[in-house]
Amino acid sequence: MSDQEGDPFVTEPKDGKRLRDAWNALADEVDGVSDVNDADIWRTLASEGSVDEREAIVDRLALDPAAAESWRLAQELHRELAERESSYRSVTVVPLWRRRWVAVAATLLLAAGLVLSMQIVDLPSAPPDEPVFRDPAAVQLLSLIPEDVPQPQDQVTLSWSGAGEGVRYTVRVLGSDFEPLSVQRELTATEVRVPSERLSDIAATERLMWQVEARWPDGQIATSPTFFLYLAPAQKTLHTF
Amino acid sequence: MTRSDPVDPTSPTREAADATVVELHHALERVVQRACPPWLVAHRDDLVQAAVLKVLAVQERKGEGIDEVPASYLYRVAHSALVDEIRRHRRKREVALEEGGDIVEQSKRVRDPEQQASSRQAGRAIQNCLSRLKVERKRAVTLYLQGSSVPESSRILGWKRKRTENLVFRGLVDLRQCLIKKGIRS
Repeated sequence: MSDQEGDPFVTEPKDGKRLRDAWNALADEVDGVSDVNDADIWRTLASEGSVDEREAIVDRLALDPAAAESWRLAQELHRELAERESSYRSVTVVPLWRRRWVAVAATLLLAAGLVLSMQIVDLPSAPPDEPVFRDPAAVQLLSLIPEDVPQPQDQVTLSWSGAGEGVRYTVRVLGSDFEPLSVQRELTATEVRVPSERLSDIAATERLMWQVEARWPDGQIATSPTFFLYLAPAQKTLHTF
Repeated sequence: MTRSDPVDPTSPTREAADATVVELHHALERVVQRACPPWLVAHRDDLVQAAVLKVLAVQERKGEGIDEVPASYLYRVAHSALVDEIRRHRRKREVALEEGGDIVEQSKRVRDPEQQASSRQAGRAIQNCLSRLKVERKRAVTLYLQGSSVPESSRILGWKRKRTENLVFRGLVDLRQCLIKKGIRS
């Protein structure tokens, strides 16, 4: 759980645990089948989708103990993930003061270099091997295709907001069961066509997921949220006689 | 990596993959410790192992090393695997309960069946009372019962923290009153 989300309650009611235990026990009454998709639960916990969609999932939890159980597990995994990411970030993100110091040092070096290059023409001009400090968490990779417009099966083109020059992208398309359908790597453009043969067995009603990963030349990585897409029913080909 | 494509166990790639698996394993252990049903206590290790194996199997089919994919993806797959495993154990347990097998003894050791039955009865009453709450209070209390913190519920439902806190508080008052009417004191 992240620091901001760590306080469950200012004052926990005395009967809180008993109520939760009784509520959780309902999961043992059902056969485990739920019509709420695990992916939707995951998406709601990540605050993805509209508020209406999230409310609809929360409403289902009140009725569907199997979905509620799945939510509790996903929630704990989300907390683990948030904990992991915050600990990674605290290691990788350079404090502001140090970034400023690097910027000042770089400016001074540049100024000194300019003065020297004006005075000594033959000085080798090798660029300093300065590390580039970037916070991947601050980079937002956004889908540029509307989620609610079905894509023609043989022409699915995914596009996203770029993360700058020199970035290589990996785009993954997954089925609703998380089964990978297509992975395309080392992309330099910010759009890619999904091979139609990879989608040939997918029903038009199935919701697919896709995600972009950006990798900078210095090895830093940023990942997009998970986006969704639907396929339009295949067009019938008309043959002329 | 695939089975037909062996990797030097001392290579950096293999080390990174192993570290990812170990990290995922520990995360799942903590999750199962906190969120799995009490009757599954004896099977916690099996659950975690099975879920990790399923994640690895998905990656193998995909032809990618486990360290090459974002952690958010791995955790989602792990969630799905864990849910499947718990449901599989529950089905097995139901069969065993019908046949009077060992699992019955295990569940008895974990928790008194009478206490379990009364807990479920209270659970059904809570579910019924929830359906009678005003919609926003119902959502706030549902997430409270699910173990969400106020900040988490606020983020999910797009509410301010103070509002969320008020709705949980008022919703719980309503819930308790409804339970008392049903003869259940929380």
